[in-house]
Amino acid sequence: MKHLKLSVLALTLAVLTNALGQPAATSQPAPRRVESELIQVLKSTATQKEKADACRELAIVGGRSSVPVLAGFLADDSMSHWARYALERIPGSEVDRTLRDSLPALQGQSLIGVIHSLGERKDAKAAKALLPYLSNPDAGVARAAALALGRIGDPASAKTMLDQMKSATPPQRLWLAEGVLRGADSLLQQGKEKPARDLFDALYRLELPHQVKTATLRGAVLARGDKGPAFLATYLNSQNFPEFASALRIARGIQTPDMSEVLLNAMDKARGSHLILLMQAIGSRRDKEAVFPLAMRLHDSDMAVVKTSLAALAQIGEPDSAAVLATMVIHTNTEVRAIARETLASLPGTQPDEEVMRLTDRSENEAKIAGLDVIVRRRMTQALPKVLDMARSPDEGVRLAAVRRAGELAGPNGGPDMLKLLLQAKEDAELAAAEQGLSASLLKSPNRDEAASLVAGAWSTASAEQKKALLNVLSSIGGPKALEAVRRAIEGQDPEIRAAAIRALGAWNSPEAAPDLLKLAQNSNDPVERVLSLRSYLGLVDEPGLKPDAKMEMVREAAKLIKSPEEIKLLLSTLSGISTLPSLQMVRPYLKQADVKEEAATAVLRISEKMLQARNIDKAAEPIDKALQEVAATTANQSIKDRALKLQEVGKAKAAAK
Amino acid sequence: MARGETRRTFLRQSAAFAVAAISAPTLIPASALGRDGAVPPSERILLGGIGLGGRGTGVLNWMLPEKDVRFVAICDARKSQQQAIKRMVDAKYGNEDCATYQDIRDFLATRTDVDAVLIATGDRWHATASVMAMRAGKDVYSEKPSSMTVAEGQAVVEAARRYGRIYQTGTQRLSEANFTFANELLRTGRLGDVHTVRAHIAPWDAAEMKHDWLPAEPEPAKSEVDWDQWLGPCPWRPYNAAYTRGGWRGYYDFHTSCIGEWGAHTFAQCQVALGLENTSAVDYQYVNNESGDGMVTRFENGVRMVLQREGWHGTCGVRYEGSEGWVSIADGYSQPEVSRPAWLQDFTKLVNDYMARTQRPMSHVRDFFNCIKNRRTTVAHPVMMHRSMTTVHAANVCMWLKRDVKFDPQKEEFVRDPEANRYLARAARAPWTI
Repeated sequence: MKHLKLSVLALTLAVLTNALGQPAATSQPAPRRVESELIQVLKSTATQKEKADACRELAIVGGRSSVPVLAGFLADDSMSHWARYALERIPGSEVDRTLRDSLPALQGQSLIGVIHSLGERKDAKAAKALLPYLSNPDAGVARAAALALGRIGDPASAKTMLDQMKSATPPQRLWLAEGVLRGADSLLQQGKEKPARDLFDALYRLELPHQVKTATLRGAVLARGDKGPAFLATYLNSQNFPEFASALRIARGIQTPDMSEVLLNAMDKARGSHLILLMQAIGSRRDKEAVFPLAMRLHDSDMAVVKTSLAALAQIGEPDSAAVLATMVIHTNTEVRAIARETLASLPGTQPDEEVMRLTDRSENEAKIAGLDVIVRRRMTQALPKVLDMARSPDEGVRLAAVRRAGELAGPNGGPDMLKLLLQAKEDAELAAAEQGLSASLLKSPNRDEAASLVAGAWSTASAEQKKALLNVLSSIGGPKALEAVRRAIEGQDPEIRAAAIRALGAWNSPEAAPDLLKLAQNSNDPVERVLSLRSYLGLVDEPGLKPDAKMEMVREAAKLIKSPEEIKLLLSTLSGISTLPSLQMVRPYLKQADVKEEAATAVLRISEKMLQARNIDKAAEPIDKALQEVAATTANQSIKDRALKLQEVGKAKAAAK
Repeated sequence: MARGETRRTFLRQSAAFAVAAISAPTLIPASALGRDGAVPPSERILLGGIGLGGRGTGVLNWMLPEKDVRFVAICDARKSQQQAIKRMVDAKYGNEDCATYQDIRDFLATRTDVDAVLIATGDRWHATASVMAMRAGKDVYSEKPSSMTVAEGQAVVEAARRYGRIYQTGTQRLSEANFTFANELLRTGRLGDVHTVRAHIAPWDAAEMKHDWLPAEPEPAKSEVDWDQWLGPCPWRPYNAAYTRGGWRGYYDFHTSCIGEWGAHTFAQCQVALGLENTSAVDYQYVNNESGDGMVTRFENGVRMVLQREGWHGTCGVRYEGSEGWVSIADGYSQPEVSRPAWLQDFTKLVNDYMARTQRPMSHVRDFFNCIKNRRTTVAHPVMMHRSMTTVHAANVCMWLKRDVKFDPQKEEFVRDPEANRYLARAARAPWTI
């Protein structure tokens, strides 16, 4: 009793608060209320919002006591849905009876809602009461009745709806069909295959949109149980495309061996797009039995069929298909070749490895190169000796491919072999391939310093061109030892090697080379070397791992060395890649400098554009706007001006939305 | 369906198209898409849009460059948005042909020529619109989160199955190379026995939902904003313009919480990676905070999925942990983070093998269009959507009830928990019942 008094007091306060114009609800979750409190709210003069909240909670905690109170709202247009919101979730036959009993007094949306709720609750006793609503002049009511009767799964209703379909308008036919389909599905779920099949078959004989035909055919197949796939065969052989496509979609959903057999039989008879689609469906089933029939199609004159066959074999992934796939890797059609290699590369097991090794032994150089490609794709490390052997091939194509692939294949211990290949290389192409291979191999090394020492150890015996290649390898390895080796090269007298060493620092795989480059830019007496160092230094600012503050620090250091307009442009280009307020502020003064103002304007646009994509631009909104205003006022380029004005609008809209 | 019905009125396929459809993008020459890369009108997929706001515009921007797709109509309860999309599409095609509709029923009933629809309304409409569209014979690309309740997810699965429709949910990371690599590391056993996966949830909003109503504002003319349709199956509340401008987030009636916001993506990613796309997590351990951060869920096979707000320096991250190592990935990563850097050498191979094995492209929208043509199930199919969203819904219920819950994926209900089971469905408001 004390609890009830408190509830009434709380309710009174809530009503008063609302009357005084305060918000009735809060975003804070209210403590969970018990059913009796909520019923009291519904019985009171509380606002619609308060009653709605009570209904929402009754959907979770409501029980038998709530039902009569909620029923009182079913005919109230403003509360009917809320009453159902609670009632639909309350278990028990009282709710069903209440909803059924309310039907005669309802109309319009309230009636539609209650009919829907009866369907959702699968109230079998409601079928008789709902049947007359199928003929209701209100189309919404008739539709709701059809869907609810379908959900309930009453066979008599399904037959009535089927009869009504014969004289129904096209929209009515769609709801009625949904009702019949739901009813037939329900029968199927209850194991009543015969009546379900009769309904599906009868429905299929009617003129219906394609999706309903598909639904009906699917039901007819399922209702036939084991005989379903054979029944579907007729439709898979159909020359009528919609009928065929429906059957195919259904077949894709049935994962039995019988269905695979039916699809393969259909494939034998199919042509054109039907054949392609069947092959795709067969591939996706990953059925080993399909490998041979698909492989037979690899020599079809239609390239579309050949490519589809390869793709299907890749999906099945059966190692047995490796031999036939290996014959396709040097096919005259480029696309077929590529798919064949990809497919061969993806097959599991060791059998495909053997087929790939056989490729490298074939007399055609094209087959050898294809074999090398697939060896790497399959990560066949056991094939490395063979690949190194091929790196001495008299054929240039095979030799270059082997050198490159050896590096990709070699593990962390493959460095010496790869270095040997580089030191043997004389031609540019061979040197480039060896450099690529050595880098690929050494990048796998767990110890960067050891890898760098290996490379540095070859310095004295290398030619000038080989030294340039070694510098590139050092820059890709990185680390203190590699850096030391490059520093030694910079200290040398050969200007070409010095320039290559500076470029190597600029291409360094981390910002650790930046101090060396800055020092060179500060101290070099050679103007060309100074600019090259500065450019390389700024290039390292783009390093993705660097945080914006660190990038700005680097840029500020570079700014101290800037002399010519060309160098300023370099600086602006770097700043345009840093989308922060300090970067924007650093660019702005250059908008006033005639010889670089357009580059500065472009930088402002790039920075602003990125910054405006951020979720929150609070503090930056004003400076961005000012910078864009300045761009619009100073640029002589109409396109830049238009972009600036457009971005200003974006910024303003964003600020307004906030 | 008349015998004489042409392919155009149903689906448009040719041998060339079918090949384009099965191949990964890198394997498709321009010639496979028709003469000089152009696509004859009779072979195009006609696309419509339903409720395209900011996100929908983004997805449409991915779809418009597809040469075999033609966007022909926009349906939106808001006139301003109809016009915005029409302007964008007409500018793209250089004509004024994009039709506008306000009532979804009118749109679906009259545009029988439209093959597929992009649905990017707010969460509240995703499932209802999908079911309506599939019943009308359309294939559907629905933005996530694609259901508000377990029952809505079941309705989507049922409609797609019954009507043989192609359906893709917008969990696009299932078609991105970095995430695919992570999934393949797990699938191929490199991680060893996977015991834990971690799924990012949105670091804003909360699991606790709002129930308040914003102050009533004068309802605009129906031709400007059809408020009743905007609300759709949700309970009525007074109009306030803020809702229609994205301010619906955080409300119980309209949103699936910070857990659904990203969990729709990350739970799906984890479940697909684990091969658990046909089930849902079974145990949910309540955590006493506002977001569900740290909640441990468990699947039937014993693998734990932990919900986390932090742990990645990008959005929608996942991390898979096994006896042999781990992989972690989120948006914006140049490459996945792995416990063994050597695995990254196989990045291209694993992704290419995946594409060869599954015949899936690294483009989520392309996968959808391919599947429309070859009638194959999409990578983010209805069952996957429904099961991963069920995990989202169950995690939300766990937070709302402030206690542990157990879920039975076979029966699709909470275990001996009548209170939790009340959350499995919500009564839809007439006339937006399905």
